[in-house]
Amino acid sequence: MVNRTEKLIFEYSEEGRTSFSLPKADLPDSTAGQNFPAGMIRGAGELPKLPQVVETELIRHFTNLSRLNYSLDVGFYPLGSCTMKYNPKVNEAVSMLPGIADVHPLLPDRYCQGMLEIIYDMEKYLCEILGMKRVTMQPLAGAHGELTGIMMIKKYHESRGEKRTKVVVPDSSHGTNPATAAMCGFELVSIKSDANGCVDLDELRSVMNDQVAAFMLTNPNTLGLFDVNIEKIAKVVHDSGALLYYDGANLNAIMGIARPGDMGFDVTHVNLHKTFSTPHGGGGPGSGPVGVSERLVKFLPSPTVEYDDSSKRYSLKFDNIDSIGRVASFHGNFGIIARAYAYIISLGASGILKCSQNAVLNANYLMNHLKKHYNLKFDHTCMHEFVLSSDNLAKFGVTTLDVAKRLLELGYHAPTIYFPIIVHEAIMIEPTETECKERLDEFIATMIQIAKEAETSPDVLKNAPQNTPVSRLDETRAARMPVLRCCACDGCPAPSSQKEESSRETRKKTASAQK
Amino acid sequence: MNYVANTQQDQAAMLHDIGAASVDALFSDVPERLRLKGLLKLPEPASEMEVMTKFRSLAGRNSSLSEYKNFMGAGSYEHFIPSAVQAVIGRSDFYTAYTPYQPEISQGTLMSIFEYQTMICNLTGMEVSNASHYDGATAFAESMIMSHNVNGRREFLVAESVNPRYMTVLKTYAAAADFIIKIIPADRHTGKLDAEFVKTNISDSTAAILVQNPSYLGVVENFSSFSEIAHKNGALFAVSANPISLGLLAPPSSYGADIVSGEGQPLGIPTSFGGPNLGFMASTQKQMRRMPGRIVGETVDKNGKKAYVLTLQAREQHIRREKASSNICSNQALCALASTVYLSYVGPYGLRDVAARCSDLAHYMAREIAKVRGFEVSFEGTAFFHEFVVKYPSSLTFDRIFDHFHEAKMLPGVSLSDFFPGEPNQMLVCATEVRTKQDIDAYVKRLGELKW
Repeated sequence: MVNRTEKLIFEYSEEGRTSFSLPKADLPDSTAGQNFPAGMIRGAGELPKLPQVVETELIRHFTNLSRLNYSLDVGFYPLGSCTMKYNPKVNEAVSMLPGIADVHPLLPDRYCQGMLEIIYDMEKYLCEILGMKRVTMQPLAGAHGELTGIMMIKKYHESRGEKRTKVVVPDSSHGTNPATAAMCGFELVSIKSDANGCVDLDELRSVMNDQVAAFMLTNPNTLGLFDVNIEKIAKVVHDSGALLYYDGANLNAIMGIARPGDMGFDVTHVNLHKTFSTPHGGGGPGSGPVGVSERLVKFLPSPTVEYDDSSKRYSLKFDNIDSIGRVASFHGNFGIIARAYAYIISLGASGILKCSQNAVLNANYLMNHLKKHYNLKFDHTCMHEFVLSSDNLAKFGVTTLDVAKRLLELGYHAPTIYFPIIVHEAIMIEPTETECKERLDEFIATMIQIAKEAETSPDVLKNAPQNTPVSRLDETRAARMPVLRCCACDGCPAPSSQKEESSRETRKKTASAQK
Repeated sequence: MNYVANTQQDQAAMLHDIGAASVDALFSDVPERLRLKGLLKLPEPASEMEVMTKFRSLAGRNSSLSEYKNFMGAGSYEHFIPSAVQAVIGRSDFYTAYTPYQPEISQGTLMSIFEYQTMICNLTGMEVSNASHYDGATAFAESMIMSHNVNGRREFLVAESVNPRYMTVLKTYAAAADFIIKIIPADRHTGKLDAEFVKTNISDSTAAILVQNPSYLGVVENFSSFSEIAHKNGALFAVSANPISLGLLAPPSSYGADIVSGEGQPLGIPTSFGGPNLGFMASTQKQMRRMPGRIVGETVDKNGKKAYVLTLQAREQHIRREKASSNICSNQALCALASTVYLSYVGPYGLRDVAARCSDLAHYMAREIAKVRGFEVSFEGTAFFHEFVVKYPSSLTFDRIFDHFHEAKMLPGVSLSDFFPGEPNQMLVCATEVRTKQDIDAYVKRLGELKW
């Protein structure tokens, strides 16, 4: 990462510059657009305002942009709940092979048997890892998997003639859980966690009734603790006729150890970009396959991939009349699925188990050292992650944000902070299995240094980061006076008119809030 | 292969340090009944050589676009991808980076998204773009939900001629949200939408009119009258557009769109069996705070230096939870970057030239196919972009046509038997700038050789 300034690509643009050309046309004169309806063709002066740059400038610009980023290939992400494990290079290589990257999604089945085999095998492997009956590979991200799962649950209850209107989540849940339930028209019920951050069984019993469609849970939970009552929880949920939903964010803790299906979960989503090592890409693409128990199989998105043993052929099956329908344009984020497939076949059963064992070992090792310098709310053997609090540093005027920003300065990505919301000044740490002991020791030393600095020189923390491409940002200004695109090219409204618009919006909002 | 660095010595030292007897002891919270007794039933570990061999063998069982001359489109398009695109997105500073929640160390990703948003706005003529969606179908479905969030209404008039896979995704989302969908019929002879149907069916319950332009069948229409009707009734007008076509076609803003979404895959992203793709979505300044998904904005750091950050997060799930505008959490950042590099590479004139070449080749192809005995090009006289419908003799099956072309290393098109169940003998054919007159002549010759 370099501490420099880079202009926007538009600022490099000069009329007439380009490196691009098409092959010489082998047709006579162009007739393009001549038959378009009136008003539907762009005039000569109405071309979209795009940059005009030569390749040298373009490559330098984007290379320079890339150097303003921190990334897994330069250092450690102790990022709780995100499982930032190393992204193996062979996964990238296989996803770009001819015959993988350049295959059309609507080929007849007989001409894409290799692709269908990958999807089919991935389903089989994930079924085995999760203990589920079937898995759909269609959902395009974790949140999209949740949506798919809740849609199936809704349809399941409807098919039984029941109108259930509520979804229950613990107060430590990810924001996507309630947002997903709301998209499916459910009312949210949030329950308090017990003193150990686990599900309070009495609290759960008190809200479960014939109005509840599902209980959404991660296990291990967002505090990194395995809920020992999981079988009792499943019984309470199922006794009321509701289904149990598994948010797979924390699957990396238990692969080869225990399976959500065996715990009683009816639906599980998996994040291939967490547990199965596919790159985060700066925020996507991800992939969020969803596993279901027997009773939900018929509601799976269409099509499914089937294998016929006699003909040794894979095929797409569309005729499932109870299916919730499609959730994506094609077969899911295939390029990501292929990477995760390479990962699973590289590791095999023993390697997959080793992942979870070492993820948990690494987390406990870090926790054991760091709890002496930060508050640990739930002092108990953790799974793959744990949550500290910086409230022991509050007396020096230091917050979790300051600790996080100082970490950036010292060459780390920050941990997940202020989540889960049930821990004050939370610092959520997940080392993953791909960090070695020396890296963990360095991180421990850095965290101890920061705790000491909080006492001796809190301003160092408050002013951090200094050596990064930019320092702390004015985020309020970004939201109050939104500038959401480059105004260097003409045709964009001046920032002043946007400012006016946004302050009007703010006023309106305040007014409606006061109502 | 394995990526775990801890040796047995490391493990022993760490366990000693923790005070745990064994790795197994760390899992003592997992009830005994739930503990797996043996290894999972998964393959044996494989070396990198074995993984590559396995993938090459799998790849060999697919008809790849590098080997076959492709005339299939239908939502996934083969366009030339400049080498610069992979050179940029293959930089691990981009692809192994996390979501830019720590803006001080994520300016590369944030600036590239800001550039992306600007380009999507300039391409569609809209004022605000988000940081991208999963794909064209889900972006289209989110435009339906966004319309509901704007006016609180639950009924939608949706064009019959939208991509049938977009339609099923739309219906899946609508069923979950208890929305009502009414289909605007497309004329069987012209492919155009029935404007009369819209007039008689729009009401103060209508949240939005949703169309695709060019339609799934390739048809281009001026929808000004649709947006006027929508606006007169307090509804929104949402369009799904092909971004390459916008090099040539007037932007949807010019015919009154309130929301423009689409599939960004044609902009420098390989077909990759349909994913990852790139959903884009843009809207008006007025509806900015109803937009789903991440948005990047410009601001300054505490030293007054210009900087970029995820903003307007009060719309999003991690802040608003059940009151969020959508549950979407991620975007397709790396795909958005690919499209940003692509659009920067081709520039305004290059994009126009690509669009014009697609259109020229497709029109030439349609004219030549119409000359082959027994084959017809549907919707004669209706404008289209780079895709069109071919009707073939009903004694032929699509499978036979496909095999016939496949033998000659060509992929002839996509069957429309699901789209026109009454008249299954139709297919959708597409030509893009990667084809030549020579390719098309070979196609037409092959078509003429079919026995029926």
